Amino acid sequence: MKKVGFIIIAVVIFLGVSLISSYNSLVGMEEKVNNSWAQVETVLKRRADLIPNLVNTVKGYASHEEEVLTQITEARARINNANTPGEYAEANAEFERALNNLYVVVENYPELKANENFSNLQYELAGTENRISVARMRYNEAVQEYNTKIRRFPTNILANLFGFDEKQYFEIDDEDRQVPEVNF
Amino acid sequence: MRKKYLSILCMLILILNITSYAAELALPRPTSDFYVYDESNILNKEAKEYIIKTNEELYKKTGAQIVVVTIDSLENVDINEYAVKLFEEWGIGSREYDNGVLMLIVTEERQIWIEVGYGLEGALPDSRVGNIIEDSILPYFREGEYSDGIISGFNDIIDEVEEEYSIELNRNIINEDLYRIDGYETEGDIFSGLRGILVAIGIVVFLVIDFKFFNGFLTYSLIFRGRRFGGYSSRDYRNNRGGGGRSGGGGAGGRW
Repeated sequence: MKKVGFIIIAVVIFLGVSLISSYNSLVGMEEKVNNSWAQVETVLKRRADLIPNLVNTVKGYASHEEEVLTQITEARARINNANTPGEYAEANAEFERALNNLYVVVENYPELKANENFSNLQYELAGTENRISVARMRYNEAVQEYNTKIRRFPTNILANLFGFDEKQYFEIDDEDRQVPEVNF
Repeated sequence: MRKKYLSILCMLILILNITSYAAELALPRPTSDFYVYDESNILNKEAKEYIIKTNEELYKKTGAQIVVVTIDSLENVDINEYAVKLFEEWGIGSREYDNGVLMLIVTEERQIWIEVGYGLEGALPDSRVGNIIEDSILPYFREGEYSDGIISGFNDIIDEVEEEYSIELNRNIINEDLYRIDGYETEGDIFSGLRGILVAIGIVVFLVIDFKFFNGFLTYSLIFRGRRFGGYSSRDYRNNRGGGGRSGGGGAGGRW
């Protein structure tokens, strides 16, 4: 009889420890998601900060290309207004399309392309695009880990109990995958 | 009898979970010298030695690492993605300062990308790196002078790093092993080794108890937990002296 009692206690302790460790690991994963999202926002802002300089430089050489410049400025504003990762992703895709249009237009202005400030800006933009890409990848990886965990049994019970909800991916549709190419 | 086989099987599965997941991307492993990986064989011997010796001094003084990697082909992966993943996998630069730089040259696709760790983004902003590539490296590459081009870029990068840390490196090729360092990692390595042993012992004890009392139920449920144990060993390289630095994707590239 004593043996059964001992086993029961051991099981209870084990369950308790499991629960605690599951909960803590969920918390850790959620924080990782939040943290990597903060990084996404940081690099999006970094790119947004480059835009005024870009617009001014382009205006200096291609003042008639108002439409393209307005497109970019508006797209940038739209990113600021986004709230959920999905919205951000859409706004981001639009922005990148607008930026792409700008690069196409710039091809007609060799003097602009030769301008040192502009070429530095292009490097910065390319680097920032890459950072966005990396931040996005890391965020989505964190989300995947987290979402999988809260959906798996038996952690899903715990997740529901404590309100761990599924997170949204920072997703871009395949057709929007065209990251603007920067030619050197 | 069957229980015994089951427990061995479970041990194997658990061990497999412990070792790091194979990357989908087949990344090369560093050489024992770490700082140079020359798959395409475009660096001459002096260049390699120069890179290694300079790095050893640099690492000793600042923890920074500037790794040169040449590969033949990206095999349909974006150079940016490849560079970031390689940087991450090898942990270039020290963990405390994230001061690593990766110079990645792909000879078949004729692309270069220089990835800069978080800690050196100030000294090497994207435009600076872009200009280094355009002005110091590509002119050589276009003439097929790969070794000279790489060294030229490498030196420019060292210039910026020296300035960042207000140091000066002795850039002559050093013949004696004056700066040979044993045990590049400080407390990190030994600790993880000990931890590894403790974890292994814990697992064995756990398995014994589990199979004796619970017929393996606990082990099975733990396996479904996935990555619980899978975190620590991917950085646990001993021979390769990656300091554990990280990068966010900053840097610049070029084609020739």
